[in-house]
Amino acid sequence: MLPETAPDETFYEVFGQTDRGEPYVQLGSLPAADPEMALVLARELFSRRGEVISLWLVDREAIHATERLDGDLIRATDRTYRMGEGYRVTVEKRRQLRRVTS
Amino acid sequence: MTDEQRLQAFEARIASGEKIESDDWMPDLYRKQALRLILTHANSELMGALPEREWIPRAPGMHRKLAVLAKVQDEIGHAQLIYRVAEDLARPLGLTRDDFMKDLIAGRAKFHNVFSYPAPTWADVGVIAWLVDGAALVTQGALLRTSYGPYGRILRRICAEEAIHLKHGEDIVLTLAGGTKAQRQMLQDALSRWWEPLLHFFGPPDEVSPNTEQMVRWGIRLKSNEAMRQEFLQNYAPKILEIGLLVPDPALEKDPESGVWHYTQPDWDVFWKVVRGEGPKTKERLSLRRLAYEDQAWIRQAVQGAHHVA
Repeated sequence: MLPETAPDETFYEVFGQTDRGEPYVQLGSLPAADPEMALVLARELFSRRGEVISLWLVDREAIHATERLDGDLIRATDRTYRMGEGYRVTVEKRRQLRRVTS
Repeated sequence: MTDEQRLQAFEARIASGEKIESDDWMPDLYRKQALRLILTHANSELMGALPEREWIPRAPGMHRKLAVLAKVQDEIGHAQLIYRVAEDLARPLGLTRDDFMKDLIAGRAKFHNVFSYPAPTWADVGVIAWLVDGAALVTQGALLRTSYGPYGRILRRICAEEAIHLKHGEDIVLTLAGGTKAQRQMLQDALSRWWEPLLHFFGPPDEVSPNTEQMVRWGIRLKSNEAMRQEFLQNYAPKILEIGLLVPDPALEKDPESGVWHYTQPDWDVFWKVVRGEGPKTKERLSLRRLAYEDQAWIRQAVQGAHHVA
């Protein structure tokens, strides 16, 4: 959940990509009257040294967000079947199979 | 959940190293303490641009001019980023960036003592960029691990840029140190002028206020004033002495056993005078800030609509 904004101001969340193939990462936010001005400000604030090759600006109001998810609750139950660690025995199983088939 | 339970969960989260986000529940006091710290930083970035700004037209050579210009732009950029973090934190208190600006201009807000001093020579520009930014990097580096997430994130960018400023300052200082007798003297005079404000920078050593204790307990800030001053002396005193400069304190010496730097206490009455807004350049710089704020109101309105930026 993001803080509410007053009706007369627009806050833009700024996302940047450092290189082609990289994910867009949130860099910060800024206030602006319209998207065009927001883009100008974002370049000045977040890419003075060419740190990013591309910027996304998102009106904060347009973001749909979850509540913070309780990771501990999920991890409290056995979910090893979803994880790589749940399948560590495969090497041992292959060895056993080789013994049986050779 | 009662407030007591909320507080316990909040403190447990901080104790486990989790960060607090702007929309998390937090004690009112945490919000106010974090906001105060963050606003002091933002105001300092904004006011810190002023002494160096004076040197843009007078910098020796095009390269130096561009470097000072870029540094000033960085400091203003930092102020923008930090005020934005402060805005989210201040929203539940009903405060906006307009309030921050008005408080600053009216002399009601705090900013670092060092920005109340004059920068009369080019050597001052070098000493400011090397040692004042070096001191700032000590405090901001310690704050990278602050429990307030949005501030810690924005500090990573700020610290990276401050580290560049430091190199720019060191380059000016080393150039003057290797220059003529007059240039070396100008450098020595600048260092002598800045030594006391630099020791003041970290605040008085006997900070035992309940306020500070609480801030450390909540991880808003992490190191004591004296610990940061010691870190500064450890990092910079040997480098200053190595280039043949004299520190205006015959008592400055590192204890070989404990590793603690001994130094003469600066005049803390002078520090408190500057904190009260009676520094040599406080009023002049604030009126310059007020002038800029008023003269540029039409630009803010054009650019930002109803919303104002610093």
